[in-house]
Amino acid sequence: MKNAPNPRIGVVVCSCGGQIAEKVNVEVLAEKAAELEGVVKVSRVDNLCRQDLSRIKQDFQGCDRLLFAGCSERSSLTFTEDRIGALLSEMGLNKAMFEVANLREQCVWIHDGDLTGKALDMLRMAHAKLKSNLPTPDPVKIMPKSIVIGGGPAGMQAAVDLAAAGTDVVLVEKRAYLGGHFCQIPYLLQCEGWPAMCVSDCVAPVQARKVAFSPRVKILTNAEVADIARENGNFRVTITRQARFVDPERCVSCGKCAEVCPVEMQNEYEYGWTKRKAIDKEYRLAIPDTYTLDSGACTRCGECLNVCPTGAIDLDAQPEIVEDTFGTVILATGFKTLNLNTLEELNYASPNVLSSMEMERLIAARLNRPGGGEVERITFMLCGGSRSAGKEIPKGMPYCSKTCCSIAVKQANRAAALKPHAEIAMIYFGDVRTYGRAFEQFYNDAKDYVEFINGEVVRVEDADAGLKLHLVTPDGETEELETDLLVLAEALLPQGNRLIEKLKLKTDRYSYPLEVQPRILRPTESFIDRVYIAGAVTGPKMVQESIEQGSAAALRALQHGAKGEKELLKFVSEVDPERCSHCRICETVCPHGAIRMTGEGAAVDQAFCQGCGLCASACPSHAIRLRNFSNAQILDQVAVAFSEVNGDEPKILGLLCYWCSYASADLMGVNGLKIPQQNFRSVRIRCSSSVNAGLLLEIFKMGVDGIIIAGCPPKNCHHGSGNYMTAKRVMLLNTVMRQLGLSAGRLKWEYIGVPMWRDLAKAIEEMDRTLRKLGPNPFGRSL
Amino acid sequence: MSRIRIILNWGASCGGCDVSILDVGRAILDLPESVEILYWPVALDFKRQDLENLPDGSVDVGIINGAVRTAEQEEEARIFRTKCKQIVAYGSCACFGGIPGLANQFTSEELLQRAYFEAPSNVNEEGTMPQPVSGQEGFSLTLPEFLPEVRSLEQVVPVDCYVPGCPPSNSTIMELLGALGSIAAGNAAKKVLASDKALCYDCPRGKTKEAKKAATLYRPHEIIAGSEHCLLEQGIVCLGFATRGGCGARCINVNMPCRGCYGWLPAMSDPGAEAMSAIASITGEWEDYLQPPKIMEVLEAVKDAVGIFYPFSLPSAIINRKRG
Repeated sequence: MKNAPNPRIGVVVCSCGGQIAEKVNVEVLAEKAAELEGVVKVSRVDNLCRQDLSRIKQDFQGCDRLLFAGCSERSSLTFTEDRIGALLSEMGLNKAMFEVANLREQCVWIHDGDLTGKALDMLRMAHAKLKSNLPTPDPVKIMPKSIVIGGGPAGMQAAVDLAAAGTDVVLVEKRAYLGGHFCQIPYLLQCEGWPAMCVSDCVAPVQARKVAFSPRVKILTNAEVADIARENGNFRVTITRQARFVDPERCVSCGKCAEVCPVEMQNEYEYGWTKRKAIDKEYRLAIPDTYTLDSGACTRCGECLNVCPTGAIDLDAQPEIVEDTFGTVILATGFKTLNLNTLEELNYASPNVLSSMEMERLIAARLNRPGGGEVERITFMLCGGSRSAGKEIPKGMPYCSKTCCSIAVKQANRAAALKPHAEIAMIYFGDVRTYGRAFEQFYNDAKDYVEFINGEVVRVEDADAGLKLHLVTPDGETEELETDLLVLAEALLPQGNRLIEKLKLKTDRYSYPLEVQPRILRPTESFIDRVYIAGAVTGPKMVQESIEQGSAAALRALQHGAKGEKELLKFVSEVDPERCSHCRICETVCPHGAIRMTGEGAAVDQAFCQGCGLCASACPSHAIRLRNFSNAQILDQVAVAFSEVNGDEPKILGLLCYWCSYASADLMGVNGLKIPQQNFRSVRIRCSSSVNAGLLLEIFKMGVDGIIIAGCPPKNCHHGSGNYMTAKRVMLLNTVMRQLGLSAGRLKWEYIGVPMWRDLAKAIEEMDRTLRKLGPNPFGRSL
Repeated sequence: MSRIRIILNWGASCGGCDVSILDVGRAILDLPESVEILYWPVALDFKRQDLENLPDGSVDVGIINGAVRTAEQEEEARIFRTKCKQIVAYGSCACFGGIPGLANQFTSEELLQRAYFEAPSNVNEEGTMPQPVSGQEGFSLTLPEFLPEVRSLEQVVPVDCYVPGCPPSNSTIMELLGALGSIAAGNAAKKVLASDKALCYDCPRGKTKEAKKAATLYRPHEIIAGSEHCLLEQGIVCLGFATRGGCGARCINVNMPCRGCYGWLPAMSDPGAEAMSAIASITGEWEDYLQPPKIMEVLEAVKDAVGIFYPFSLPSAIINRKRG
């Protein structure tokens, strides 16, 4: 990386109220700092974070970058990298132009004795990197406009909240009306407090009207996202919209068209239990308040045209393709239900076996079955295709769909209210999981009128009157039970898989899109920048929970929507197309979907780059580099890292991932753990996979005797699979080393999470012991 | 116009490189018009004396194939250097150490022990071992010394031009023959007669890539490779992404993966480590529901990491040999 012409470096040496000065001769440190290339000003302070900040701003005018020798920029409770960035901005400097020598957490707090030597090395390392830092590129303009995909509760809420805060929204809904499953569920559980319900006939239109009345929301119903691609920091979206045969601006929903329409068809809203006409409104309260025409069923007889009082119908209407560009995407495509026909034993083909969603509509119809039929004995079966592992019928999904127990209890409650004399049973698999105080109360109350049976239904037969169920109890006994109606609380699955794939969202094994790490702090944020996931697509949810997530997603999207720009990280990938060999390995490894192949080679869309460096370290052509984290910068640090280490001492380098392992090293100090290995140096790397085996060898060539490379623990990599990649790289390199008679003990991979500082200390101690036995690295020159 | 004066020699090599020159077809017949061959012991009747008799600096181009394994090979390489204005490293062994370089996984003691005592086909009751000097019936016989390691040519003498390949492809050889004049004049357009980009760039299967990970790695005998799709994405270690192009993808065209004979890419810091890194990054299952040991299982297909990632380049690697 090219050095900036004549960097003007300011160095702040903080004694941290004497804590650093106790073991480090800060005067010597300041003197030596002044001798370093490009240093124009050195200040010594005692209390940088609390009292000396304003002084810094004055003292360092004229500097273009600052080096702070003091506490950890990762773990300090008062002076972190964010705060330093803000300070630099106030000073008119670019936020990338600083480095920290972490003298407190990773030097004076972990060692005893005079540490001036180690502190000097750490200062030199920070300086070696800082002198070649480059400014963060300018922010990227993004469209201050959001697309919300899915008009269920989560999507509607996100759209309403974004619009209320001033962002333009396009809401795309596959069905003819807003609400999704929400408006098909007549009684909605309230999640907290006492056991209570809302009715969707009340709240669904309230929510949908808010969307419809918002001038900032453009609603596209009967529409689907055909394509979504990243382009110049934005999302370029192609939406296909079915022909609008009825103009919603003119239709007054009088229903005259449906009266004369000769074509009857199944009403999907009611799961086919009722009929609708080819031109009709599937659901009376549907919003947008308009009739729609099913193009496939319509015979174009023209009867409706004759009766429509407002001339709203146009049988020649054509489908539309809408193309637009958005800065943020909210994916709220909801759930789909497990295909119960896959559980043949449960006889779903029988009209007396219903899914949970079908039961919702039957409750809406006050338990009056369209074809007649007794509903005096109702049996619910929980875990219908959920928690399949260990079952007699191990089919369906192995996970718990979370909502079904509470929903089944609610349905039992409604059924009991509608038919007080009905016999209601509920067969549960091991346990009833009515989580939270409201749902558990529902369950306890239900014990008065529901017989709960522990067991698994293994076969369902048609009987003379209704059904005969065969059960296996936990003791292995078989039982039989007769019922009129069996309701299977079916497993839920994510919907929208095609889009999830197109967006390259990281998913779990069941195709649920995942939130990015640390997901506890970043709810609704996917692995792709500015793609937010909300509602049941992220996992089964109550309507209320989906709405909460919709709001959360809106707030996150708003941060970009309101500004119309995306601030880039100081670490962003940059491609040299001249070198690119089009092997597409970068694209394969990028966990954030920021890279795509073009005719000219790989192209990084920096507005999506999260600076993990996986691409740069995997690129065999070295066509990609990570800004402010180049191989040369790491080697520059290594070159000075061990200047003060006695020639006989093993030189141990820790390459510690940005998020977990570096923080863990800090916590050794924070927790007062002392390690004697003053010959240990650390470099805070991006993802553990931001360095490759070639660089590790270069580091060995420079004379480092042992390397510990550490990253996030399993299942917790912030960049998808970086930890596993590095574990594999190290395993291969260790194999090569062994084949060439070199001890693999010189290179260790460790999964080190933040609280695993004791393990890190142990790894350092072990490496030190190993290296003292092995002697100097035979491939290195002396440092 | 005076003819270009050239000399050729072989070191630790299989002979394929010399054959490859003869294999250019009728172009070989035109060669004498532009080239004067002053030494080529494999193909023509020359003796060591003929080489030594050439005045220093009198030869335009010296072409050497093979790695440097013995003291004789080293000595001849040095003689070539003094006789020639320009030295060409011809073939993967001369360029990078080549397949003979894989011997660097063992010390020379281990190699001799294996070759003369342990190999199952050996009968060596008298315990005969080759010696640099041995006396017999009053005569003193010498053998070239077996050096402690295999080296590439440039690790022994400065090299001016590199012609990679095991052996170099016909088109690369034609390029060399065409460029001999400019090489002799010291103004050749390229120092390495290969592409600066990876083979993937010219690979006929490049378009079939989907930028997808391969869940399983296969050893070559474990899979019948599809003849259309990118071999790497089929789970076969193909080093085309980390190897210079210029060979015409001749292995890919017969459904074999690239093994890297055209050498690593110019920006790489080590011939094998970065290929290793990339392979580790794009193969295997790494789903979070798996336990780490399961995630590592994919690497069980890598039975010989050095052989897979350094088949032609071990002497040029950062860790380039076992030390005794």
